Amino acid sequence: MEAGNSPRFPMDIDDPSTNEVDQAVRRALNLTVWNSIRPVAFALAILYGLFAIGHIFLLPPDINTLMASLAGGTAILLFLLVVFIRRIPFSERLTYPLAFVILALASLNSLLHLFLTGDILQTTNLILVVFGIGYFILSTPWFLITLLTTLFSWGIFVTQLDHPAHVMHFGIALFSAALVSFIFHLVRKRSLQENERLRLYTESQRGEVEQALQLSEQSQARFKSLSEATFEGIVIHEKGTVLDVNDACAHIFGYLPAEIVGRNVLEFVSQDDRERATNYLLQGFEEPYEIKGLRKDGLSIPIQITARKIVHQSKEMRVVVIRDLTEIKAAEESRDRFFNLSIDMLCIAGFDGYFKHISPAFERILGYVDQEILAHPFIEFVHQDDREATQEQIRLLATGSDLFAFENRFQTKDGSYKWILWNATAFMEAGLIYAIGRDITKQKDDLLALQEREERLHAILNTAVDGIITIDERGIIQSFNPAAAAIFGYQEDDVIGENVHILMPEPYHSAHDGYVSGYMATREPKIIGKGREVQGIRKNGEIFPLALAVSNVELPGRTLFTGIVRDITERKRAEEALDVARERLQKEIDLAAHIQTSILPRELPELQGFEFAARTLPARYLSGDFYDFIALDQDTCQIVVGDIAGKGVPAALMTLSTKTLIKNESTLLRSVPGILEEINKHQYQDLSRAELFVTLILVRINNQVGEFWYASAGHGEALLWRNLENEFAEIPATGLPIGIFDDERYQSEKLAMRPGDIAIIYSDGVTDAVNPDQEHFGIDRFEALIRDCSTLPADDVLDNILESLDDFSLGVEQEDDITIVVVKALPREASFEWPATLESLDRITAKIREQADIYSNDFAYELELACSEVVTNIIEHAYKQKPGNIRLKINLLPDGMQLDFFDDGEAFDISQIPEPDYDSPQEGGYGLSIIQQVADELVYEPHTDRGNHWLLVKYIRGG
Amino acid sequence: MELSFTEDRPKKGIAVLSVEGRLNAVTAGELKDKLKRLVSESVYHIVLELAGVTFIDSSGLSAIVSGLKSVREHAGSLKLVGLSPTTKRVFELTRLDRILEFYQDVEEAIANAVVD
Repeated sequence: MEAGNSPRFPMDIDDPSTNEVDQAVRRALNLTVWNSIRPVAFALAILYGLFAIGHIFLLPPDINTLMASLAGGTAILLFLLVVFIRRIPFSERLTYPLAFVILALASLNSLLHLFLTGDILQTTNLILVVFGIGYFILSTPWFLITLLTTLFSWGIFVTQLDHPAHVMHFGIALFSAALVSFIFHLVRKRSLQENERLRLYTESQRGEVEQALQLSEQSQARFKSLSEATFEGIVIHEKGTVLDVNDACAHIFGYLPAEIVGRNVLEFVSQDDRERATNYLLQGFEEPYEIKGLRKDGLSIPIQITARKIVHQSKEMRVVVIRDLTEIKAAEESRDRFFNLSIDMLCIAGFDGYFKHISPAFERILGYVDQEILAHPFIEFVHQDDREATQEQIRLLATGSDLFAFENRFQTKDGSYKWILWNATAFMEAGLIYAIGRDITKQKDDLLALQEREERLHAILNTAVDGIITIDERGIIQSFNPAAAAIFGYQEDDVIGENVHILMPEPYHSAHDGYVSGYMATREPKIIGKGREVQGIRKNGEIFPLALAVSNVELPGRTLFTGIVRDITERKRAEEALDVARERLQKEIDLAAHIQTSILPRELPELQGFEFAARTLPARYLSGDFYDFIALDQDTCQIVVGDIAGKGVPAALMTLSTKTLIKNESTLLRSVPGILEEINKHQYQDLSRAELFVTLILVRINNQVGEFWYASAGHGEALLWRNLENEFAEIPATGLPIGIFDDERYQSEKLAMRPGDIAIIYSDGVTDAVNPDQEHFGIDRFEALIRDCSTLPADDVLDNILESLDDFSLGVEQEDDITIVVVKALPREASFEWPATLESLDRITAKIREQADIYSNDFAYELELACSEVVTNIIEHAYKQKPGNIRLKINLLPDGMQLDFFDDGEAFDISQIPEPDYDSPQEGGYGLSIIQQVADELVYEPHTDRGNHWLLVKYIRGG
Repeated sequence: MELSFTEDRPKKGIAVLSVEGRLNAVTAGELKDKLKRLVSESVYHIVLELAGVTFIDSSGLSAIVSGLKSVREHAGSLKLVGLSPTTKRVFELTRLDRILEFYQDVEEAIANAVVD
């Protein structure tokens, strides 16, 4: 048999593969013939070789050569065939032609023998050949061809013979032989066919069986290896008794396989589940179910059972597949933990539009209970506007593509919406969508806020009136807003990417790169943070003044500079115009100031017993303060200090009018308050209209009378330094400022200035003077200063004050005008003369009292007492009531008074006057004693060249 | 200048004389005369109320002493009321403050006058 597949042997004749079998059979027969060609050819070759030799001897000489040649030739041919047929592969096509040729050669030999010998008897040879044909050729068509060829050829040859004898006899014999040969052929063929068929059948059967056996073996082997390799336990049991178990199953339960076989399956089920398992078993349940298995060590393990009924050899068995779920369960738990813990919303949804399984994050983020979400199609939770897009995404998922970074809005329980970012993938086989959603509401809000901020920023840049240009650290323009474009005449596109120095004329143009690199190296701000005026150059070449402010922005990795530019061409022009105007104004102010100073009192008053010093310092050019000295008569001086509430030109103008008015109204006939009232009446209208008022203090000093009267219209800035007491006395205002009420009444006060006392009348610019630390000079400092220089003359006091103010203010420009008038009382004297009559007594004592009162009441009384005695004495004893006069010189001293009485009457010897008897009252004689006791110094000088001279000095105690 | 007097006779023999003005050489005589007259009217207890007197010198003093002497002759008294520290000064300087009687108010002086 040739290698190769045996054909599938048909079980019945109707099988379409019958043809195949026939072919195979035919082939087999052909092969038989082919295989017999060689031996036959060999045999015949030897035979004819012998014939060839035999013919030579046995045949008549006229034919023997021919016959021998033929026989020899035949033998040689056949011999060659024998040799060469080995080299030829089996060929069905060649088989019968070769057979034919062999037989033809045989026939030919026989026929030729017959012909040449003319012996019809030779037909017997041919009969042998005919038998050979029948026996040799198994193909019926070829048999017939060969047979008929042979018969026909006999027929032809025979007819060529001369009266052949017994032709019919031999003809029939040949015919019979042919028939027999035919039968021979058929029978042989049939039987060979049958044999072959049977053989093939057997072959195929065997083949099938072998195949089946092989399959079975393979299957067996596979099963074995499967059952060994599988993680799942497999148990086969019959009515509960284990027949077979694989290693895996044994391992699951912790036994050796041998320990399980033969036992009842229920022994391996946990007690609690045995009833259930039994039910399933009896029911023949074939669905997978979970149960608790029982290990050898008593441990209970979760297992999944899938069982199936099989019938084997008419026995009913169950095949059970056991899966150990321990790890799965653990993995599930682990997975569930992830599922439940995840911050993001994990879910499984179906293509039917419902969520199947959602993580707790859903409730956390959306606020619904799980049931609420699962009960509705998920699209219902999606924001109206996002539904179409969401549906589209689901459709895409259905085609198998994954969903990545899809955003939509989900409605929360309270009705608001949250932005959710989704990743999803479809699990087509199960028709499920696995999705994870992240709440990006905050990010969205932040993003929106950021976008809004950017838009706002952009709007600011675009609408800003000032040009805003940003450059990088190389000076390259990064941004250029519309205002900047308008200023420079360039379009934004023209300048972005260019160096900013194209906007600058020289020298900035060349220097700018240096500025930027200098800053980058040293970080020293030269213009950054400070504004500067520079120049810019427009597109058309025009150079113009520019106000520039630069700031820097440090970003990670790079520095940007922002410049805010303003075209100040107009401003500059305006500034120039302003400067011109200012200059002109300044000239006028200077002129006005000149006028104002020119009307200040040129000289200080001269009043016996008083020193004066005065100064006025305007804060700017024109002063709102003023002072004036008006001599009313030679003994009376009026001091005015005024402060217009206000500054500058209006106040200055007011000072002029007020001053003039005061001068006009100041006569001896008017009292000090009266003057103020007049001023107020006259000025009220103007002041009201201008909404100004004036504080004014008027001091009138009469040194003869010793009067110091003042009235102050709201001007509290006056101090009186009392030398004896070493302290300041107040000089309070005695009425409201001028211009407040048009019918204001003023009071006056009398002050006694003892020698050594200093009155300082000033404007509030003194105490309001400020220093660089914004401290005020203040009243305390002022008083301390005056105290320190109280012994100095008025000029020096004034200079000291001015110096001190200067030192204090340290050059700070003052806001308020400063006016200071210093009046210092000096020791002064006054001389009087009266007739020496009793009528004069009161007058004289009154005068003395008046002066003495400036010291103190008690002092004054005692002095009056003493003087009364003196004068009485002079009148009664010196003049003895005769006419004469008494001359008195009063000297005011800083600490007391000296009185010098002069008379021309009789003198007396003071030493001769007895002391009074203190024990018995007398009607007189006490006078001298009183004088002596009161006066600190008493001298009586009779008959001096000025007359009898009483000298009395009394000092004031304590002070 | 003149003095002004106000007289009051609370009881028989007692007079309260209030004086106003300055008591010096000019006016002392007036007081002296007044006191003399009172004594002549048999008023020997005199209360001099001097709160309205602004000045007293030795002349004024002598008028008072004269009055004192007069009433003393008749076993009377002269009491002084209403002197201020200043007007009392002259009495201090002449030590007459030890001899003359000074009272805080008129009632007190009157009461004491009776005791006398």
